[in-house]
Amino acid sequence: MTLIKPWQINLVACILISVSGIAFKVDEQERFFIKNSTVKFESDAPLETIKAESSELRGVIDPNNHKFGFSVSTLSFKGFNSPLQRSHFNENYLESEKYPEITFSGKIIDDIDFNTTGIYSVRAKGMLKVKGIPQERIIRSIVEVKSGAVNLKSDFEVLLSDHDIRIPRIVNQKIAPSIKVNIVAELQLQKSKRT
Amino acid sequence: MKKIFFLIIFLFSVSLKAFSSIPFFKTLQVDKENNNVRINVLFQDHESYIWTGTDHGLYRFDGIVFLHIPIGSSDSLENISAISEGNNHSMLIGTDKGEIFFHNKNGFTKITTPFKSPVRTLYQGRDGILWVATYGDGVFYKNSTGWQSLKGLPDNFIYSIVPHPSGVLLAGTDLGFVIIDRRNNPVSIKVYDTHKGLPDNLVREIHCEKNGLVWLGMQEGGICKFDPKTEKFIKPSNLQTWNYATISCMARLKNEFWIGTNASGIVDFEFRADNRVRTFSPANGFPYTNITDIIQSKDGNIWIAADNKLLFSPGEKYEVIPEDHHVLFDSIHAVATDVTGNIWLSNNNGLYRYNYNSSDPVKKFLTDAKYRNLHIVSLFNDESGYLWLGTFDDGLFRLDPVSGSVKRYSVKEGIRNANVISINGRGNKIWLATLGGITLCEKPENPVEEAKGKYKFTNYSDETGPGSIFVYSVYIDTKGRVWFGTDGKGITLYENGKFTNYSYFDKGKGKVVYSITEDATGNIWFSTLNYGIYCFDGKVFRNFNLTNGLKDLNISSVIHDNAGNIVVIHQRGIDVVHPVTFEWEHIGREVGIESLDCDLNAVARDYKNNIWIGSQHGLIRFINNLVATNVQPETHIQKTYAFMKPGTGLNDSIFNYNQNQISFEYIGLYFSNPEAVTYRYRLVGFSNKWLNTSDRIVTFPNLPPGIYRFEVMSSFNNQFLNPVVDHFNFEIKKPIYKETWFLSILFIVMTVTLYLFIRDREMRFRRIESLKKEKIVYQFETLKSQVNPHFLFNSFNTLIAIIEEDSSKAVNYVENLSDYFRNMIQYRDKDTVHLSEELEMVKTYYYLQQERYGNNFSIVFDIPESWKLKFCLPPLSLQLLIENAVKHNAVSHETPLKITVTAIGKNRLLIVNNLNKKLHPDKSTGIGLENLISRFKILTPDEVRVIKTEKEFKVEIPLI
Repeated sequence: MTLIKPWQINLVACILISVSGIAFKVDEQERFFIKNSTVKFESDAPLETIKAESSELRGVIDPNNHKFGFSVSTLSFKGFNSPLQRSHFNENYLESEKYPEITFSGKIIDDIDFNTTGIYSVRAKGMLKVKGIPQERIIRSIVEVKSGAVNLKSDFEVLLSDHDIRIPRIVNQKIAPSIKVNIVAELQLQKSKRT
Repeated sequence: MKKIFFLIIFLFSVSLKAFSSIPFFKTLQVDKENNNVRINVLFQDHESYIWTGTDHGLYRFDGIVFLHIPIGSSDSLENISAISEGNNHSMLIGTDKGEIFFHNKNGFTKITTPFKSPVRTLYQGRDGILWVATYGDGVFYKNSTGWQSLKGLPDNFIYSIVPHPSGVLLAGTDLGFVIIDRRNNPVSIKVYDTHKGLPDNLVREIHCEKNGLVWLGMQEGGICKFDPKTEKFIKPSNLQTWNYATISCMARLKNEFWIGTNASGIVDFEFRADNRVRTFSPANGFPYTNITDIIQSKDGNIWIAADNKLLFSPGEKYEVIPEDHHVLFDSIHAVATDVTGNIWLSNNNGLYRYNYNSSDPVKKFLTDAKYRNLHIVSLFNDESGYLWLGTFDDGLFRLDPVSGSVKRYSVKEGIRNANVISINGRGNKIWLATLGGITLCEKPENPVEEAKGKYKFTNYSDETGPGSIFVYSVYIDTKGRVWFGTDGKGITLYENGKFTNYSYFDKGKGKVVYSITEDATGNIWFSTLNYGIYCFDGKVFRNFNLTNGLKDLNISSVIHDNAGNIVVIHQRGIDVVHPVTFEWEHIGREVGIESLDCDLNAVARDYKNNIWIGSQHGLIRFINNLVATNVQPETHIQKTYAFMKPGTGLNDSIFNYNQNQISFEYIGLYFSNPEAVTYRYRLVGFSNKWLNTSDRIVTFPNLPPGIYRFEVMSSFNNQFLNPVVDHFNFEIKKPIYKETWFLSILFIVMTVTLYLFIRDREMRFRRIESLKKEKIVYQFETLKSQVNPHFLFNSFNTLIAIIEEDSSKAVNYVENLSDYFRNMIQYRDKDTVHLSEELEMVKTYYYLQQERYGNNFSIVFDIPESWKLKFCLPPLSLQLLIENAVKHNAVSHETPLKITVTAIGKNRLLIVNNLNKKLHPDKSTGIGLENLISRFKILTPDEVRVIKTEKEFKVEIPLI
């Protein structure tokens, strides 16, 4: 169940490479790329609420086959209640040096017409990879299609146990076992460049 | 008074035990040592075994043991994702690495596959084509030309492939539901998605009904029904929105769907009759949320894979409802049903109407304070819709459920007694069983009068009616006859205005009757105090007690189901008896029914064939006719052993004569209660008598060689009706010395040996005979020669000469002569003498002859001393040769006779004498030498050699 399909790897690679501007051979097709984004997460534990956010979500949606790929650097998250907490987050829980990216890639299951403006509530099924551990997830999002642009909103939860993130017993009153995630992103239609 | 006291205790017994509000679940762990074995799939094979495919390999469950079945080389780590049975019942196993294994005689064999994604479903049709649903690589099928990939699918993540009765295959994917028409060439595909009305593109489960209707289980859309003819998708009216987690599996029971989800436990959807929806989740005591598979086994039980546990449940067969909407259904005293499906029940808190399907399921009646202390012990719904209540001490009440109006009838109003234990009625007659006799109340014909409660009461006391004033139950049979159970006077029949009392039967045991019902054939069944159940066919009372099926004598009620089976409710559970075969089935502790503490006759049957039982712990719903009761456990011989060493396999059915202690291990698959299974076996060829046992292994020590057939059957109720028999044919070979071929060879060998022995003996006899003859001849010859007058004459002449010269020497000579004759006589009977003895003789002879011939005659001996006692020879043989030499040769000064006796070789004597021709040779018969040769021949294979030259005569004799 935990296998990553080759196309998913390709897609993620494609996103990362195209965003970082390195040459990659793709067909001349129009795709939606993220222009602006915020990824927020919130751990609502009995003794402490931890919040952090990143604006460095990168991603692409292919309107032709309804496949997508998103990625965010774990080091880009800011906020937290103290700098120490942030370093804990990166060093102990997510092992950012080893696993610098959180990725989610897959396909859209529900009907969506990228040629027609409107607001769609769609499910996206794919592999969510946190700390190198993939989990198959079906995540519902609100997608607003405008001409040449897409606005995306999504709220979901990530179970720490799904990704083998272990919280020491002494702080388990301070970190929730399930982390709330909120994503808001603006995507624009762009041609993939051949370089 | 004692009896009343007993009855009161019986009616108001109290228990504090609590049940959960969900069906009974038994938890099983696949590997007791390893808590992390997660079950992915469940399957029941054609032999009824339950298979679990786990992330730690494959396990087979027989009700008692989970047996790990290795499939690959690194078997224990196989992550099994699909199990099915192909053609010829061969097992098919799929793993999450895209591997497929099939089972044949030699175990599991791997089929090479062109995909690596997890296998979700394996299906092999009658045409032999194997279809595979993979999670990531689409659908593949394998025909005679090899693997084919199915083209045109909307998505490659396939959840299942299911055959449809019309011949097509149905597949669920992430992006729609697919009909695969494999009858076309090439295989054609039709996709249904949200554009075509499918509520949810992600179709995870498919179930086909026999009539062609299809049920789909979706990720978010819940379940829907699909009609392939109209191509319409219809959601059940009460499941329009799905408020539960993703559907992962579905099991279609007789009246219900049990839908497993990945986070909300099980959703139970009753699609027939009530459309009830309920969940089994941690909220109501079911501890599991992530359900990966659900199946119903052939016996009607339900198997659930929940994380690392396998759960067993009798499912919809019965359930206990301890409470609903915060109304406790404990300590129920009476239960009744009405035509609209309502259940009426009374307990210490009052009277309730219950309908679990209604929006307002529980309604309390008689809320007025004046009814607070009523002890309602009997309930009855009449045909006009009125509910009748019988109480302790407070008489009879009639409730109009619509208006809520209540009428009370006490002794004053004409009923016989204020303790109304049982009420029953038909038409315009309602019968009351009281602790003072029987009351008949007749309805007025006018409904207005009836509404006013103007009934006509007729009372029957012990003298006019039942024979006893304590009447515990009243039952009206299908023929309209009324039966009463009494205390002390047995059962009483009211027919055509006349009471007939059956108080003395079975030696008077059935005097106290509590509960009455009727079976499908019209026989009356009733329970008694301490003596079990009786079945009365109008003539004979047949008793059932602990010896012939009944599990407990503490019976609270008997009732029939709508198939006509008799359901007996007692302290240890529920017994069901088939009215024709008298086969008993017990449902008890193994499914969580125990210590029911039911009140007398607190039972009712509704029009949907539910039997409602009021217990101390809640209201029990029991549906008996879901599974045929007469299905006996399937019996399988699992292992054979010789001297407790496992046999190499069940097909190896030949044992050596020294492997004659054979053991069999077998099982009767009865998952409802594996411990209740008993066995009956026999060994045809040894004894044809069936033997009973509850052991799962039997050993036959010291079996003589022969051909045997071991037969074993099992039963869940020790009755062995319609048993399924498994058998094992085997042979114990005879030891080699008992085989026919060996015996015949042995016979031939012995005959030949005997023949040879006899022949040899014959020959030996003949030889001895001839030896004897030779000996006689020889003795005669020797004797003749010894008494040869010449020898005597010569000896005497010599003697005369010596006497003159030297008289002492003459004495010596005569002594020698007499020695010579004595020795000759002494030795002649012997077969052999020692060489020393013979030489002694020869020397005596030599002395005698030397006296005559002086130095002209000489014998030189050259024999080693060691030979003299070591070797033997026939007596007088050497003597004969010396004599012959003297006899045939002239001995004089000119021609001296010289004889040499020399030892040669290892054991031979050479006797040589020179030849001096006599002028007048003695007549020679020649017998002497010939005789000697033949005597040697008999005694030794070495021959006697006679060599005659010009000058010498040589004889070589062997020594023995």
